[in-house]
Amino acid sequence: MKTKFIQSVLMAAAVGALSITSSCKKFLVVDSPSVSVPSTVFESTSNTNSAVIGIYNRLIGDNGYGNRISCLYPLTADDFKTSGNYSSSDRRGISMYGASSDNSDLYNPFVQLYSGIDRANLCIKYIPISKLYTSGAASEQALMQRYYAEALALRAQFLYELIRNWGDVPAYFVPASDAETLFNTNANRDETYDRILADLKIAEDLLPWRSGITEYGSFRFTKGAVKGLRARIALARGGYSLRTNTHTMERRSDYATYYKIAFDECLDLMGHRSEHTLNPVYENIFKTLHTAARYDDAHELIFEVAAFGSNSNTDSKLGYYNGVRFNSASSFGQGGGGMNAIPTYFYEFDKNKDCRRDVTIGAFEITANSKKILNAANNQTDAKFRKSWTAFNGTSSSQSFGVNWPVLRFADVLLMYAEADNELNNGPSAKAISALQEVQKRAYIGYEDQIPATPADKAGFFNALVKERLLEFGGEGIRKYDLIRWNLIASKFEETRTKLRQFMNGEGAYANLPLYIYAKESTFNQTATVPEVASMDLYGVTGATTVNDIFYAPGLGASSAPSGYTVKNWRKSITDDPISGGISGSLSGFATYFEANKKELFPYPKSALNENPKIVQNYGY
Amino acid sequence: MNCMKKTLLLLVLMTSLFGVLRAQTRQITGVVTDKTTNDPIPGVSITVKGTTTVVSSDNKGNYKINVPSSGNPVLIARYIGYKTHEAIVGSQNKINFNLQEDVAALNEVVVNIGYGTVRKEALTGSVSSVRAKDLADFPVGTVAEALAGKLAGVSVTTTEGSPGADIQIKVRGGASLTQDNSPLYIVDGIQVDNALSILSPNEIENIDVLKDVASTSIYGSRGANGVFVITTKKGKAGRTIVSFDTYAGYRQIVNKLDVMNPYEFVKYQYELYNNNTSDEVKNTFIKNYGTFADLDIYKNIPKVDWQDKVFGNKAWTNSQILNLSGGTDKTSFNFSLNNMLEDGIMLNSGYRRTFASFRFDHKISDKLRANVNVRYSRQRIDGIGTSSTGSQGTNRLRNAVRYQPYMGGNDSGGDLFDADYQTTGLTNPITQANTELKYDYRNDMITSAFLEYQILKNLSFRSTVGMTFIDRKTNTFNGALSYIGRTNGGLPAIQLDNGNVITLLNTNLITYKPDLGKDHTLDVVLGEEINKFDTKSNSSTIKWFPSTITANEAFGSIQKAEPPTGSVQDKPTSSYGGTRQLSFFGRLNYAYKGKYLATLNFRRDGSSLFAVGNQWGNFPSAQVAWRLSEEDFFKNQDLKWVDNVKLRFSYGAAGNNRINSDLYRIVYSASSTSGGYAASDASVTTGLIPPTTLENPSVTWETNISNNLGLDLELLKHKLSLSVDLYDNRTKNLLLNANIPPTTGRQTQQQNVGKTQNKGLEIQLNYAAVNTSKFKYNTSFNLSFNKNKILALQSGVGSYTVQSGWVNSLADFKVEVGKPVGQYYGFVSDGFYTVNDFTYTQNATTGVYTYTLKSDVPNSTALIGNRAPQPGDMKVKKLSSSSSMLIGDDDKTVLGNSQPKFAGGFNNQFAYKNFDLTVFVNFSYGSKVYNANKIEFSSQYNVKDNNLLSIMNGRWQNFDANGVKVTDPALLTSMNANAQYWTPTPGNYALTSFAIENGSFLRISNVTLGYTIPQKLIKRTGVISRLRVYATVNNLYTITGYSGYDPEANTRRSNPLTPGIDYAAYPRSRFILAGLSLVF
Repeated sequence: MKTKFIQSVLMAAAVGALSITSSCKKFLVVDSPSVSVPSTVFESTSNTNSAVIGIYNRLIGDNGYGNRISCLYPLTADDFKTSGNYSSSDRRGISMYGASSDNSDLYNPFVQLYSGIDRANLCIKYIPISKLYTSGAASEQALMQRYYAEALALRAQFLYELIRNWGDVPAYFVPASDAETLFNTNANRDETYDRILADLKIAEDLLPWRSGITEYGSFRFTKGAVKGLRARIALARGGYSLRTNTHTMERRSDYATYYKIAFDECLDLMGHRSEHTLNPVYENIFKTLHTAARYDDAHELIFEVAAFGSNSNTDSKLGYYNGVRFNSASSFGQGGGGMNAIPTYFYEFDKNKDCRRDVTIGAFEITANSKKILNAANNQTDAKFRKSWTAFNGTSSSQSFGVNWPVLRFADVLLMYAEADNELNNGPSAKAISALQEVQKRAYIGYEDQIPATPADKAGFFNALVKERLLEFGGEGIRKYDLIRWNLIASKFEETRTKLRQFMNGEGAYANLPLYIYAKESTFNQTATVPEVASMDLYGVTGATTVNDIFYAPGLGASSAPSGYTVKNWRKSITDDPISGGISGSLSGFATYFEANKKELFPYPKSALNENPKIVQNYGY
Repeated sequence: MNCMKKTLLLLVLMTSLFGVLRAQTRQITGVVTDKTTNDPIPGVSITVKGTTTVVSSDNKGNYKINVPSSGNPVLIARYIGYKTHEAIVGSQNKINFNLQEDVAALNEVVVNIGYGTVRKEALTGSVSSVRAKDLADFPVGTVAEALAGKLAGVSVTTTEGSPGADIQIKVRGGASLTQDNSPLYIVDGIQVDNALSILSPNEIENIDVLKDVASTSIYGSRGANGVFVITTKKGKAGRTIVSFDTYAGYRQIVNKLDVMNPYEFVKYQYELYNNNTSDEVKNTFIKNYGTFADLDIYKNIPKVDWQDKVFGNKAWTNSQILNLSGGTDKTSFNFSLNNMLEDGIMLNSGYRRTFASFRFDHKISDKLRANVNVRYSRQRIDGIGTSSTGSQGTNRLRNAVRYQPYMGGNDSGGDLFDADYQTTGLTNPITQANTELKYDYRNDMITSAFLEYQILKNLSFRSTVGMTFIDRKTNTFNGALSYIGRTNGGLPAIQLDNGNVITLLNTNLITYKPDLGKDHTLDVVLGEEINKFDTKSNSSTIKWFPSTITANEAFGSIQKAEPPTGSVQDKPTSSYGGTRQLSFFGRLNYAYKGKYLATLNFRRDGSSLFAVGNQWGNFPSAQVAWRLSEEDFFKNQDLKWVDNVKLRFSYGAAGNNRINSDLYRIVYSASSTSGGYAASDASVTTGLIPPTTLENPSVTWETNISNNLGLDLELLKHKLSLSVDLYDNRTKNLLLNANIPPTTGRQTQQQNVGKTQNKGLEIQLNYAAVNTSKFKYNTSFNLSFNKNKILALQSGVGSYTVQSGWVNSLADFKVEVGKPVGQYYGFVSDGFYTVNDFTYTQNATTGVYTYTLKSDVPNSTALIGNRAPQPGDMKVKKLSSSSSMLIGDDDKTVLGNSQPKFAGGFNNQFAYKNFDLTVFVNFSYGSKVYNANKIEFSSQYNVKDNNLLSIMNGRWQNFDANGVKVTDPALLTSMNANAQYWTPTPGNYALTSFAIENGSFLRISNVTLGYTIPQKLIKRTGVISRLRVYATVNNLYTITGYSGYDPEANTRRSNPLTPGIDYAAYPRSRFILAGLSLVF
């Protein structure tokens, strides 16, 4: 009896021990259902798609185009600057070209971009060796080719973003674990550019046009998007940049080769107008970014970084950080205000005819009473992002509105084409002239026959393009990098300071502008932007009946407002105080700490140098 | 397979051997008494020699037993601590036993060396032990607290003062550079992580700490950091003993950081707002604080001590322990129930724990023994604490220190001048403490059972199965005003984390002790073990609760969260994981005439943590000892005062495999946040992403190889014992979760790099100085010296810097070959610039002087927010030889390190009549503390309206008594004749020698006075057999030169390369309590 019991206990123990240790070898491999190895991921098209989605993820979020890369890095140029007072360690330091290497807004985006490169490198390694890619069914092969092409395009985008901000950044084209060393040193940017231009060529051949993958829309790379990106990168490769060894802005002697690439790519895009063309209504491009409803049947938006999810990783702070300022107590809830227009930028636009001014610059803000009122001249914002265009209002407390960032649109293709053509042919061809005019006519809607005269000589046409790109792309993070590749950044900054001084003093083009404007709250009609601005309640002065007239009339000049109106500093808002002045003040001047041939590039983040001493800090930091 | 065959063979062997005896009987009775006191002894086992018949004496010492009526039966009386007596029955019917105490047996100490025990004399390794009696008088919540300073070579550091705070335990300095150096804990044969905080002190029978690697190598790949072998109490045959212990008391903050009072605070703000600022900023000051003339008002505004408001609570604690034990000679049990309730000194913090443990031992037959152990622990830790693993933005202590020192708005929210909490970066500390709540629930079920079968007299087999279940649930509430709440539009958000771990262990052990004659003894252990470890976890973050919701409502009804139109909640996440380990091991103990002792260990471990090909590792060791005192030539000296002299030497290898799984290969995981993308409008597609840790296919064990030389002495008739150990541990293939260049796209990689060395000396002394019937005095003293050194890093790397991370981008530690781990790296403070460091010119119209730094003076612009230095700014020494006077990274130097030169403890136990007194002191000498609090709390950073430590009242002054800025050089110099510190620095924080302080301390960590009610009085109650009352003060007083809360703070623990930082640590408290212990 007892023996039996013991025997059965021991038998049970034996069976238990057996089942546990049934195979020593197998016992020592644990495969968790929560993770998958590459052989699983890349042998399924849906998993491969998920891995590619994982690369796209690195574009967005606070540290991607959701905020830092879109709203901080491209500032200041002669369109916009960051609001607030200087500190070397935050966003104002970046905007004033006085960022220190421990600026926390430099490190996180830098890391995120490299993380994107690594994720792309993994896909670029594993997709071409997968069975689906090499010997899958035709439909599977086509899918896998698309994914491969997208990974190549994304890697190019990340590297381009790094190079234009930091210069000769370390470049990786294989996953980190396959790299010879983890401590890569600075790579020659020309070589990196050449590599990604070649990659993009492969990608554009593998990807269908937009109409071939309708579900991608402009949220993922299509053939058109890759072509546009390739043109843009080619112009950067063929343009000026601050060189590491000479500490000067230089461009390479073979730059024409790259203008030719841009020319060809843009021409091809312009030959496919059914895929992408200009949106007839300028404003609608940006409204489209804000909601699920789209107003862009022309598909001018070729590539957007898409945002959604109300978190700091997959959504953006567009419209919350930047854009038209909405008082938090208004029915719209808090929004905008992080970027300020350079006061003279307002006057670059034609007074009455160019519809882009009121889309681009937030002349008014929305008060606690949900009404609009004029901003002081130094307190205007960017305006292509507006909380009132989103689905979010004051009952929502979210800081993320699902607003997308426009990376590439067809107007850029037209203007890049015109620029490349002018450069290659030593003057604009008829096609180049018509490309420029096409963009201008859309802007001068209703006044198409009154667009500025188009110069026919090379220099004149180039200058017209410089001006046109300022007007067309304001607040889209393009201007600063244009000025750099043209080597115009120092001179344009000097020019802008001169203009600001003239503005302050009421001289030159700014003679007769008001010192003060008097404003009253008025209904925010939520109509189109031009009539919205025109319907602001401003105190009328002699010779000025319309709102636009008031901006150009001398006004009362008194610091106290007529009864019922609030005084808004106009020319008065700019001073030359060495500390708080808007021209060269140490706290809030215009690009106060900019130094030519030094500050065109950011300092490498200190933490990155701490971890990788092989990286050489940029000159001057 | 090999492993399964072995198991089978054993089981077959065992099942074939059984037998049962039967016979005719008659009854014998008698009483058992103590020879000296003549008191009856209950629980004495009486056996009939050569049979299995056993009985035990009752409460009055009486027994009854049946003996065979034929033959010549002999009775044997056995009782622990007494000499065994035999009596021939013959024709008697009544046999009384008069037992004599066995002094030698009482002194016999058995040490558990893992998978077996050995008598202390025969021990060949370096083992420190703590017995139940050493823990008995320390009324503390966890065993860990009771161990601090008691064991030579074992450092026990409470990292901060919060309830349930991490207690860091290191054996011999800690060799590894990986996540932690915590030792392995084995409780009754099974691995229990964090055992010292899970077990109740009263259930410990003994703790044996295996310190030399040759001893720990029997645990192979887990042994590199020392092994705590813990044996719990089991019931004793005899009367059932019921005991009840309880204590209650309170904790209170010991010291606070002295900050500026309201007037000093506004004077400082006046400077910030008026020194080189725009009119707008100057006007803001007037708006917020008033004009300079008004500032006198602040002299009368009552100071609010926020530290006192937040940490000043008297935190009450009470604890009850009920213990039940008893049994017969066949079956014994021990049941323990422990309840503890502890408030934290910080608002909304506390700790609650309930333990139950049950141990059951049963002799199924003479040959077969079984044991079942079940332990359940339920803990709840409330409070989010002060420190966090993030950088300074998440520091919660700062609010209590830097917030304006007077009432601003109200305690529940809102501020007069910083309603949105954007400008100052501060939250009202009380609001803060009420808005961030955390509840950490932990349930541990630890079970084990073994069956032991005596196959032959000298051959036995034991199979142990252990299972542990750990359930952990953490609920975090972030209210509307918390940082997370504010980033979600001012609405509360919660995070719910659940995790559970199931481990299964099976050990099969054969012990063989062949009879080799009286000169030789041999003890062989062979074993096989599997470890299976499975984890499951899930986590969800739910945002956008109504702003007024309470934490409990939010936890209890997550459906109340309402995403704003167009937003979606983050997706919940879940994860499964696991590891496996398979091991074979053996040990051979040999002794010749009890003089020459040798132990050989060998273990082979296979682990799922590594790639196929790297999975198996071997860990051999050898130990030899020579008992000099057993030699004839020694005995012939007839040294009466020397009882025992033993010399030991050991050499061996053990491993460390404490890394996460799947580090050798790349694995993708799904994520909707860090991998998601809005691939179509108004939705987020989940992506697959690689981990942030870069795979390393060749990752393998860290191996620790060590030499140990030891001497054990027992003198003065066992009154004085002394152990001295010298060791040299070298660790190769160091596992390092290295930060890798972010340009790789990943953040870290687990690497086997470099070598470290720990050399040290340990002395342990115990002395029973006085032992009379009235007065007893026992004292013990231990002292440890440990020197840590990095012998090699990655090939070609001589040194590199590491960021502790309390502030971004600050490389404040240097890892260097030839130097110890934990070197602080920064600038050498040189006070501040004086007028003489500048050339100055006077503006003819305004009369204002402007100052330009002389070109031959070090320029510390990088440390003061990238602005040109002015008189009074912080100055540091230029150390580099470069021609530029700009202070940069090459002017940094090593400022000290956190390792003490020596540390130890000194325990004194006195007993006079019925009084007992314990005084325990521990100390540490020669360490440096990196007082990061002091850096932050003396800097301006980028914010205004923040308070400073009061030492900064001694700062350089730029404004005269009338609030007018002074630029005149002579005036400025005379005004600052007594200045001690620089102008609080704007811009990012920098480490200078200012923040490195002496961390030596001597702590009176425990004083207990007890009184045992005399036996005469107790006896009258009829039920109580012992009653002791006591009062204790823990952490009574610390003698230290350190200016922060406590020199032992260590808050950047996730990286072992950055020890010794006191940053936002929860302040330490003093604990005063009284209690009683009752035995029925």
